[in-house]
Amino acid sequence: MTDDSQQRIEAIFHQALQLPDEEQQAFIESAFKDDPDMLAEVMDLLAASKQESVALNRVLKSPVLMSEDLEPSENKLEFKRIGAYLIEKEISHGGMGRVFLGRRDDQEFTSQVAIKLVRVDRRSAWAEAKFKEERQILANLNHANIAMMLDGGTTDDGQPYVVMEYVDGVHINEFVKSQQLSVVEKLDLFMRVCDAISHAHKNLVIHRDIKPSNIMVNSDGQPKLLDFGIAKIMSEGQDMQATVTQMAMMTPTYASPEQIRGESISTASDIYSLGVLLYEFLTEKPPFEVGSASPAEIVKAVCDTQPVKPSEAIENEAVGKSIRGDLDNIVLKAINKDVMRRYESVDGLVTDIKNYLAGRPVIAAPDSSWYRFHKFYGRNRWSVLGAATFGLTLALVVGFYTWQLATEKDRAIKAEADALLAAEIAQQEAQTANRVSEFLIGIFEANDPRAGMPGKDLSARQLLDLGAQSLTESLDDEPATKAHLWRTIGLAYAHMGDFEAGIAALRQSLALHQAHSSPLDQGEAMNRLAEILRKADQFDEAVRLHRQAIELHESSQQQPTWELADAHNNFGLLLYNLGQYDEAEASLKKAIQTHRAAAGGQEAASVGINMHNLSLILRVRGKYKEAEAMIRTSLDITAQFRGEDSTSWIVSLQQLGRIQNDLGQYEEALKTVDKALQMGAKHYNPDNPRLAAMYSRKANSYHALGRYEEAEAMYLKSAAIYVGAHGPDSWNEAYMELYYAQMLMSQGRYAEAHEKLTHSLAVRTRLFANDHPAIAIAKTHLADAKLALGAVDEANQLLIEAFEVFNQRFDANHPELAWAHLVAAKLNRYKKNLPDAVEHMATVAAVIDHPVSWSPLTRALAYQEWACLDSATANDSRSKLQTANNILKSIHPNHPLIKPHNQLKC
Amino acid sequence: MGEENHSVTQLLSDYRNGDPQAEQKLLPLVYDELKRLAQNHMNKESAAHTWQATELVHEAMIKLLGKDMAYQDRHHFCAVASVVMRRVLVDHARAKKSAKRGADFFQVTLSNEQADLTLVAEDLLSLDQALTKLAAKDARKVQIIEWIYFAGLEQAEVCEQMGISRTSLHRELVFTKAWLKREIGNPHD
Repeated sequence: MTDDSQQRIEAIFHQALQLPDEEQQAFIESAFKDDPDMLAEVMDLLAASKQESVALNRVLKSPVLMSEDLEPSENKLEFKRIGAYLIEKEISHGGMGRVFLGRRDDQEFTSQVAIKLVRVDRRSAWAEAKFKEERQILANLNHANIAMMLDGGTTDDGQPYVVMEYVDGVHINEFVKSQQLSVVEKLDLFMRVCDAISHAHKNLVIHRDIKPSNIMVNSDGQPKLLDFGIAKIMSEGQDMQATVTQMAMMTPTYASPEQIRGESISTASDIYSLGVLLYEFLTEKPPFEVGSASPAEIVKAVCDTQPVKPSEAIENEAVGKSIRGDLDNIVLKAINKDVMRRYESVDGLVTDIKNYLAGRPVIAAPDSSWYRFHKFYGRNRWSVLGAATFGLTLALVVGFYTWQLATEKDRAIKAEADALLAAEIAQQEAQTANRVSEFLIGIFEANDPRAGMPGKDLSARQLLDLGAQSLTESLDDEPATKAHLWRTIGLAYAHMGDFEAGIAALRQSLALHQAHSSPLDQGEAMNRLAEILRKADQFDEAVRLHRQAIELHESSQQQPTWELADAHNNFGLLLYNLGQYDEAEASLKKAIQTHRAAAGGQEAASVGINMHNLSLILRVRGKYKEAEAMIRTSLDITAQFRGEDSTSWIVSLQQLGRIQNDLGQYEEALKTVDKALQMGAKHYNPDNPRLAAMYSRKANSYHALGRYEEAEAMYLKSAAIYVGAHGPDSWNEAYMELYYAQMLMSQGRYAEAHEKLTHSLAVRTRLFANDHPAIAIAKTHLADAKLALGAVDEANQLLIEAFEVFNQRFDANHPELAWAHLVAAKLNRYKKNLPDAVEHMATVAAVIDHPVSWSPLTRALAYQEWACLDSATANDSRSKLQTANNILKSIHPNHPLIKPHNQLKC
Repeated sequence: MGEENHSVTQLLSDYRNGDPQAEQKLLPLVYDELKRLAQNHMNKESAAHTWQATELVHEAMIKLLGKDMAYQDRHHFCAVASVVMRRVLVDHARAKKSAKRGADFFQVTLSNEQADLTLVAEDLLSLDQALTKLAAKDARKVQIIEWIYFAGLEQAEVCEQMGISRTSLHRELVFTKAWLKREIGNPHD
């Protein structure tokens, strides 16, 4: 394992990487003020991380770039013959292999052939396997419009090759242009291509790369399909590498949205490509120009942008008029973004073209975006809501909306005279609304459960990464828009649990706002960054930013604003995390006031959230009944404004479950949390930390009920999620561990409990100031474990430290303080210091039956200890033990902690 | 091959179940196969050609386990093979160096799905030393590099095997690469 200094070096290294280059050095210097060695180490590492190559000759390139990098191979034709064929020249070389023109080396058969050979160098097993697959596919396809396979084999040095009919002709789009075909002739040619594809589909082969350069037209005017290089047999599953490489290899103009997104591909993808081909036949241009577009722009164009109708894309108005209507509809149906809205088969497409040619009504009908939205939303409502990325979707939509709005306004201002401006903007905004709905549809389609890919987050994450990547280099002349989009991306990352990426994006946003925006925007940017820093346990910087943000809002705004209210809320939550409960409560109350004031004296949705947070504070103060009332009001408000299926409602429901546990309503708590889990499963991926919190609540209920196996399973599930999301040393994990340890104590697994508590305490000590109650609480439990293991002196020291904090921070009847007294009573009993033990127990006795301070389980444990003390002081221990047993029976009739008198272990 | 296939699968299963002898029996089998394949490649390819360590591991795996191996076997085979592959490469590099045939004759590409890393013998030996040094500080980082670059385990598989998130893996890789670059840049500090 790494030692502490190594961990610290790594942590600072990663934090520095998040900062702009010019701030990194100062940051590292401040982190290692008194340790020049570590300072030098991190500076060196940072420098190394930025070097492309040092002593090593490193070539960091993608495989695809490498294949494009190859020098032209004309001048290194090393073959004279392949198999029985003489090589005449090299025709082409591509990502996967080379193609030669050859002829058979005997008199019987003199026609020319094309010979494909897998790339000689950088030979990869994958390319070879692909190639053999293609050979097999071609051998099974026999159609007049598919280039025929003649032969195949392996060269002397083991390279597989395939010999194919050589088509001496031109690419199909050149043919269409040069021959000036009529619409009917174009359709006829197109239907022959369709025939070939239909034949492939009937043989369970998807072409996946239909484009003009793969279709030659020979001197007889026959189209011939050439390349089945990335074709796939339908029955096979997708494999990841194939997808990645294929994405890089395909031509984006002809690729369907599902191909662009790397999702599973069906015959419908070929239908889409055929539709693009027909579009280009009719209009002589592709539906989307992707020339020099960035990957993100391509994704947007193909997945989100509605193509212009072919009839409107044609410059010649007369021709445009001739295809308006049915042909528009046929093409647009073939290239519909929704797989389900395309033709069901290539034959269906051909039939509809025949309908058109015969003057019959066609199946294809126009398609309004609202129709599509409702259709899609209606069909997939629950799965759409359930998609793990729903929050992300909304965040992106907000960002996209703003982006669009800015661009459209800009365009309007440049293009139109002042007089027209207002009308223009109004119209543009209406259009923007349309774009937003288009975008929504695009994202929903990206999460279409029918696409059947596991890990829906993946494609959303990829989209987000693409967005971040392209944003880095764009919009430099629109800093406000850029800042807003960074914010959106940052929040989306954070929502997905990647705080590190989220913080990096939000820093970009803040930097831009500080240079260019109003105080309101700056304050808001600080608030957001601070919020995510808090979630990532980086409290110091979060406090600083929050104070700055609130100051900025208060100094710059006359009226209470929503932004100020939210800043108070987040600051309150942070102070709660830091254990500063008075200030936290004050801050949250200010948040409620400000929210209501900003809403013109009305109730506001955010008040529900403020109240949720207040209930957290009431709870840690041991005021469970008040906390319960507060959370129920919060649930009502949230239900009213956001609905009972909103994430806010679910999170608050989970908080109610937690308070029910405190109140000893364990069965109810289980039901409450189960409900939250059930609804949460629709919103969150299975590894989302929100779910971990719920599992941990359930575990607590199970523990109290004596159902230890179920409890342990839940604790482990919860821990696995936390560790996966935040590493092994997060606050969340440390928080849960304390409860896990209590269950281990109940089971008598003291050494394990000791281990958990030691770790939990270490994390708390690292994260918090010395007087944080969370540290003191962990110390009292660790002291209890140490007592059980016989380490009385160590337990004593821990308790002294804990009391110091509690006495400062908590009221005399605080449940955690009472718990510390209970452990102290036990400790003194162990030390045979009975007068002190009795005194501590007297403090416990004052609160033990207070109806809202301790949960029943804790009370039972306290009565058991009391019985032991009675027994040690030669009193009758039966009545206390009886009380303990009665409480346990009220939890569960067969609770495992119920002890007959003769089995009481002290 | 059927016989061999069976025994390797059995050994992997024993290895998974914690039999310490299984790994000891497995290592020579994998080593022999990898070494044979590597020699084949070295003989066949001319100096300018590179060959991919991860493909060798893949080839050896198909050879020893057959095509229809269990999903878990793939992970465990790669985990074992990554260590072996590193040794085979280092042995080769040493042999080439001592034969004074020039480092340029030896080129190997350590690759994963995103990035390739082309090394000559000299660099490979430095890398090996750096990794050995790093192992004393943090064995997990070395394991990650071995699994990805020497055996071609995909990042998702590494995450699953180690029970860590993508983010954590990414952090580990960023740090480890920086560390290795620094180390190889100043090997004597």
